Amino acid sequence: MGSVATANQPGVAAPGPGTGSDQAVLSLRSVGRFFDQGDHWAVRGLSLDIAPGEFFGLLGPSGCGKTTTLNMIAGFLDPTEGSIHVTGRDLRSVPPHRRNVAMVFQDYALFPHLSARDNVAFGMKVRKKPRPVIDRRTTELLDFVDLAAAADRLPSQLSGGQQQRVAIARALAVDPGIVLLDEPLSNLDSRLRADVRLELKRLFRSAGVTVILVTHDQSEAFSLCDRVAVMFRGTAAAVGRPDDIYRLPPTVEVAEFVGEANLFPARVVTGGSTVLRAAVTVGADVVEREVVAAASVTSAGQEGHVLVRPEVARVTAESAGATAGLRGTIRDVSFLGEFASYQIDLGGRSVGSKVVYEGQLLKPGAPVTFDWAPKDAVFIPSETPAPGGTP
Amino acid sequence: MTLTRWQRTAVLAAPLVVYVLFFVIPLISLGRMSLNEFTRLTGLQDAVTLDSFRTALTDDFYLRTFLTTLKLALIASVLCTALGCIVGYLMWRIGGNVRRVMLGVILAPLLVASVVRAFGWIGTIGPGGLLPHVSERIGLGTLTIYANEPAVIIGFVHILLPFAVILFITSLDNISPSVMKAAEGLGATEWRRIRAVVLPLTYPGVLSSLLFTFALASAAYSIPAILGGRRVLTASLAIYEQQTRLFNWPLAAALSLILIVVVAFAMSTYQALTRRGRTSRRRAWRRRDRPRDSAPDEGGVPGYDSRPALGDQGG
Repeated sequence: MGSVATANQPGVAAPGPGTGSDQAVLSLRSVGRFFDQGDHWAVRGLSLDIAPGEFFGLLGPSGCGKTTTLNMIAGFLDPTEGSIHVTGRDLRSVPPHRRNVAMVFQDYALFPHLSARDNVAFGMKVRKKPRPVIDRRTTELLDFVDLAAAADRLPSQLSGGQQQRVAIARALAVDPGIVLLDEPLSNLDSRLRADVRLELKRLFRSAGVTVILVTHDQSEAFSLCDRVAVMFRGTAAAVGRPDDIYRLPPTVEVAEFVGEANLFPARVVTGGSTVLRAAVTVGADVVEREVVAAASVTSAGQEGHVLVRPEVARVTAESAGATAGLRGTIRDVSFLGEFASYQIDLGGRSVGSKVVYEGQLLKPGAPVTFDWAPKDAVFIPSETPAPGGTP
Repeated sequence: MTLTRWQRTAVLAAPLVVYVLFFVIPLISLGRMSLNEFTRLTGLQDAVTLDSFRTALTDDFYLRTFLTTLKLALIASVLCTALGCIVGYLMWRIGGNVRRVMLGVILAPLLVASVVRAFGWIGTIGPGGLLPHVSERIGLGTLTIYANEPAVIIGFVHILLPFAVILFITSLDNISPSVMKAAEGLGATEWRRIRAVVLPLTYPGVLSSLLFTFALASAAYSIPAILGGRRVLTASLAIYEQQTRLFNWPLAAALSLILIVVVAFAMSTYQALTRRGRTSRRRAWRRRDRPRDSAPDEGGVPGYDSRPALGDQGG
C-alpha cells in the first residue's frame, strides 16, 4: 500500500457502509501523544477499531485524553507514537482536510461574519467546486438540517441548536466519511438535549457517516452511541456496547464512572467463567453468593469487588416478613418522582438502592433487608498487579 | 448592586468634570485667542477679528503645510497598520513565549522619549550616518533621505508601530481558536484563512489602528521637527513657529483649530468610506430578535461582539 497520499480525491463521496468486509473505517494502533508542556502522556497505548456507519463515543473525565485523541484523528495534532488509519490509509502527516474527516466543534466555531449559507459553503469554496454545485449542495444541506429559512442569517442571529445544525451541515458539506463531534450536547439547554439527541442520531444515520463523539457525560455517550470507549489516564479502560459496559464493567473505576455503584469487597470461592461463587464482605458480615463474572475466567482466591447497581438491589421492609438478605436500616430517602432512592445503613456501610415508585415510600429508620438476584451482581476482579504494571 | 439615580449622576459627573476642565475650557480659550489681533508693531491685542483665519486659509504656505501633514499622516498610518498587522499576526500565530518576548521588544521603545529615538535615526540615516556610508560603498551614491519626507515617515512608523501591533493583536485575540481550526479542517490554506476569516473578523482593529496612528501622526511634533530637518513643514511645526518664535498667538490658535477640524474631517470621511455597507449589516443584527433556545453566548462565538472601538466614539 502506497504510503504517500497524493491526488485530491478526499472530496469524493465517502465509502458508505456498503464497502463490504468487516474492515474498520478508522483504526488506532497503540497511539500515544506526549506533551512537552506539562511533561506527560495525554494518550498512551490507545487502540481502537471503528466500523463503518458506527456511532462511537469516547467517554471519560476531563483530562483523560479523549479530546487529544479527537484532535489526532482530525489531524490537528500528530501522534507521538502509534498510527492512525482511515480505510486502510496511514494518516501520518496527512493534513486535516485530506483525511476524509470533518469536525463539529464544541463551540460550533462558525464563522461569525458569514451567513449560515456561506458557512456551509466554505469548505466547498475552498475546494474550488463549481459554483452551481456549491449552491445546490448548500441548499440541500440546509434543507437537510431544517434551516432553509435561516440560510441568510448570521450565526449570532441563530439559537444554539440552530448554530449546531449549521456546524453539522458545514461538516457534511465536504463529504467526510467520518464526522467528529466534540461534546455535542454540552452547550445546549437541558430541556433541549433530549430532542437534539434524537435529532443528531437521525441526521447522521441518514447521512450515512461514521460518527465519533467525545463527551464526559455518560448519559450523552450511552444514549447516542452504538459503542463506547471509556477512557482513563490516556487509554481505553473499556470498549463495548453501552449496556455491556454498564452491566459488566471490567474495572471498578469504569463501574463507578458510568453510573451509581454499590461495590463490596469480595473473594472468589469457586471459580467459573460466567457464574461463580464469591465471599462478599458487606459491612461487618461476609456472605457467600453466586455472582456473574465480568472477566471471562476467574479462579478461586481471586480478590475483587462485587458490583450491585442501585436499581437491581432489592429492598424489602422487614415487616413484610422477608427473611433472606442483609439486615439494615433506611438512613435517607430521596423521592425523584418515578423513582425513590434510598440510602441504607448495612452494618456501618452505606449503600444505595433505587426502586420504582409504586405509591409507598419507606421511612428513614425503617428496618429493611437488602438483597440482589445472582444474575444482577457482577464480580469485578481487582486489576492484577501484572509484572511491570504501574499502579 | 444597582446605583441610585443620584449615584449614577455622580459617577458620570467625575469624567465629565475632567473632560470639561482639560478639553472644553482650553478649546474655548483657544477659540477666543484665535479671534485676537496681532501685528508686528502692536503685538497681541484683544479684539474680535477673523484676520488670523483669513491668513491661515488663504496663504499658500499654510495650505501646503496642511496637505503635507495629511499626506505624511496617511502614508504613515497605512504603512504602520500594514506592518502592525503582519507583526501582530505572526506573534498571535506563534503564540506562547515567543509572543510574550516579542511584545516586550515592541513595547520597550515606548520607554524611550521620541526625541531620543528620532536622534537615533539621525545617526542611521543622517549625514555621515550608516545609510549614506553604506550606499556610497555599494555604489549607489550618497543616499540622503534625511531631512526629507521619507525620513519623517520612517520616524512615524517607528514611533507608532507598537500601537498598531497592540490594537491588531487585541482584535486577533477575539477570534476563537476553534474558528481557525475549523477553517483549517475545511481545507483553507494559511493565506485563505487570513483573507476569509482573520481580516473580516479583525476589521475593527485594523480600522482603529489606521485612525489612531493617523491622528497621532498628524499631531506629532518631535519627529518632523528632528527628522524633517526644517525642510518638511507640518502643521504642528507651523503652529509652534508662530507661537514661540513670532509670538503670533492668534494665528497659532487659528491654525490649531483648523488642524483639529481638518483631522477630524479626514478621519470621519475615512471612517465613513470604509464602514459603508458594513454598518447596515451590523445594525441589522445588533438589536434584532435573537432566537434563544439555549445559554447563547457561553463559549459561543467570542470575538463576534467586538465592535470598532474608535468607530463608535464619533467626533
